[in-house]
Amino acid sequence: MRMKYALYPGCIVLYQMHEYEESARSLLACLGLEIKDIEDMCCCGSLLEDATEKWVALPAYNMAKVESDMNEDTKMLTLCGACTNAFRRARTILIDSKIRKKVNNRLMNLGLEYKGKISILHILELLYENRKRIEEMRKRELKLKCAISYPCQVFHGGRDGSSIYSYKIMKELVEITGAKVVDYECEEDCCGSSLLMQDEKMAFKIGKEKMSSARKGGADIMVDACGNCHLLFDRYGKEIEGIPTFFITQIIGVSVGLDAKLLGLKRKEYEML
Amino acid sequence: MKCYECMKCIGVCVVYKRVGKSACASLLSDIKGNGKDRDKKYRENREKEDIWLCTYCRKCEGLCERKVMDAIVQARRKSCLPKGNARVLENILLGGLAYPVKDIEEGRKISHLSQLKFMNRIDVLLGKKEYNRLCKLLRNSNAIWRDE
Repeated sequence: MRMKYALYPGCIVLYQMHEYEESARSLLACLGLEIKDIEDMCCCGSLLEDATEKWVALPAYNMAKVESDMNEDTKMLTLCGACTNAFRRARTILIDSKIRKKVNNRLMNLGLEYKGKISILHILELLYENRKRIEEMRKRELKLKCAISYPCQVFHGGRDGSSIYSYKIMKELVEITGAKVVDYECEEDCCGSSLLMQDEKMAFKIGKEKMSSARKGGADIMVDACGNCHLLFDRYGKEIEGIPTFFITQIIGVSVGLDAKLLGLKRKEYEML
Repeated sequence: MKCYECMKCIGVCVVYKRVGKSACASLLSDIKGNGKDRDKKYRENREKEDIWLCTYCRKCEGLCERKVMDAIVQARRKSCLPKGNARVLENILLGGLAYPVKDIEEGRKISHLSQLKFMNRIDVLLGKKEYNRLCKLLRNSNAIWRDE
């Protein structure tokens, strides 16, 4: 059975990280993986959690929509850490039959039912599962020194059904491109981007420290795999005195020979790689 | 929250590491301080807004036996929403996404990306009563709120 992937880009990618979506779609197509769009999606619910305990209805809706519109050979593919974690935690919460019944009563009004059959995969995990194919397809060896910033919420979450992988899969993936991954002191620190909503200065302080540490480690570029991390590292790059930052899909895309345009890269950025 | 005061959450907290205060530390101080001068540093962290000083990286979650993340979420729900969160909440309640749908569609058009369909019936998902409660919460948070 050939697996299909229902792409859930997440609000921030839909809104302003178009290069992430473009490069992900291009790379996955190049690897021969079938991507499907989710019709009528909504927020993953992670941003509602602070306001209401009923937030779980949102991830349940999105998962039920995939279950209803697609076959059982479909997995939900996420691009950001917060969405991944929200869906995984919702899956755990919805194991409780009482909660599931309440949520399904609401979903019924939209003609849906959450069955709990869909599994969630972050793009790092999907790429890692296809690492041999990436290796076979490599056309260019990147000569850069990279610092990696992994999406915390994909790999942490304690008992709430977090990834079966360690964040170190990101290092392995970058190394497939030929680039060298540098060790740096703040490698395991969260980027701090989510604090932008509450306290910009504090987010900048955390981001600046991480960037400074990556620079000290000898990195030419930063590689991330989350729209939220990229918001701070790239869009606020000036404020945090950042080094150039790329999505992992862009780095791997370049190494397998994809064109700059397909990866949402400007010519200057492409040449840097 | 009955905290064991093991401090593991603070030990892995990037916010605490950088600025000396954090959401988990503010919860700890509520127990540890207990109105007495037991520890000056923790008492200083008792300001209510500290509950928002968490990046949700969830590194503490697997270390804490007393569900610190749940305690942070519960405390946030009782606290006043910061402006940034209120704006996002407003967008979700109105259009189903964290950013205005109109802006998303316009941006995708400029980037030549395919247009996708979104669902905005958050009132159905949350239930009318909870939806209205959140609308009221927004008004109380002094957010820019538009009744539709």
